Amino acid sequence: MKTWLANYPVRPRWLRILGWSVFAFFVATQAIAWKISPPDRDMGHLEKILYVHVPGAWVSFVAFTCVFVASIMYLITRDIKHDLFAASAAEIGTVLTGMTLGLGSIWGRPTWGVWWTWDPRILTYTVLLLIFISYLALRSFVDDEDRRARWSAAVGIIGFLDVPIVYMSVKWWRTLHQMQSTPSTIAREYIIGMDLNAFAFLFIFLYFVIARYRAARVMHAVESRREDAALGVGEAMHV
Amino acid sequence: MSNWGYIGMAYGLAYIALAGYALYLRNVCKDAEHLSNEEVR
Repeated sequence: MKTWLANYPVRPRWLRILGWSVFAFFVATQAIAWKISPPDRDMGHLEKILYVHVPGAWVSFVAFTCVFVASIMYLITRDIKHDLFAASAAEIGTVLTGMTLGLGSIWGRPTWGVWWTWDPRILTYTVLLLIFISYLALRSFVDDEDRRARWSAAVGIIGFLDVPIVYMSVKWWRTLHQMQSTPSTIAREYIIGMDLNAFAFLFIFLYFVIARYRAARVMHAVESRREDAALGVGEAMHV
Repeated sequence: MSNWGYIGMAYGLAYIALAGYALYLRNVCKDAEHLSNEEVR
């Protein structure tokens, strides 16, 4: 185990380089989107909020899909690595969901005239946020590792079922929130900014999830080793 | 409030959320590195 820890740096050089590259890419995509997008006919410059709101929502779906897949993998294999990965993705997904909801509220005030409305899209997305806040709370309440991982996997899988509901909500119900835009419904100068920022948010998520997962694995290995030492158990490979 | 006020508020929120998580992650990684170094020693 000591050898494993010594050979598994939390933030290796390549990860630091990745982090700074992602940051530079994000700054560049934000600048490009601002530079090339003209004010919208109806919204004016408020459309610029969508370069952080929409990618944030898309990537939160990616995060919860990762939680879903990793949770299933954990239940099949009982390998703690999957649980740690699911928890890492859930944490970042929750931050992105909270951010997206806040941005939507700020955008809604000048365009819809309200900070909040009981709209199916907003409501189902808020439920998604609450589910994953509960997921994270559950993890901090349960001490037993196996039970925590099993219960978290169950919440992660059930919670993910809200993602397609959020996505389809604007089609299934009559909502104030507009339907999904497609490249055929928006002008090219807006698509470029949106796509670039979607990739930037995706890369930010990848960097965050890799760093969080590596830290979680190291912490888990150290804690397991200390528990084994306290119980007088021979050293096992808890990585 | 003007549209620019809302845009400033929105970008402020987005950057604070991302930078805030990045700072939190930095602390988590430092803690993990510290624990790992202690254990290796």
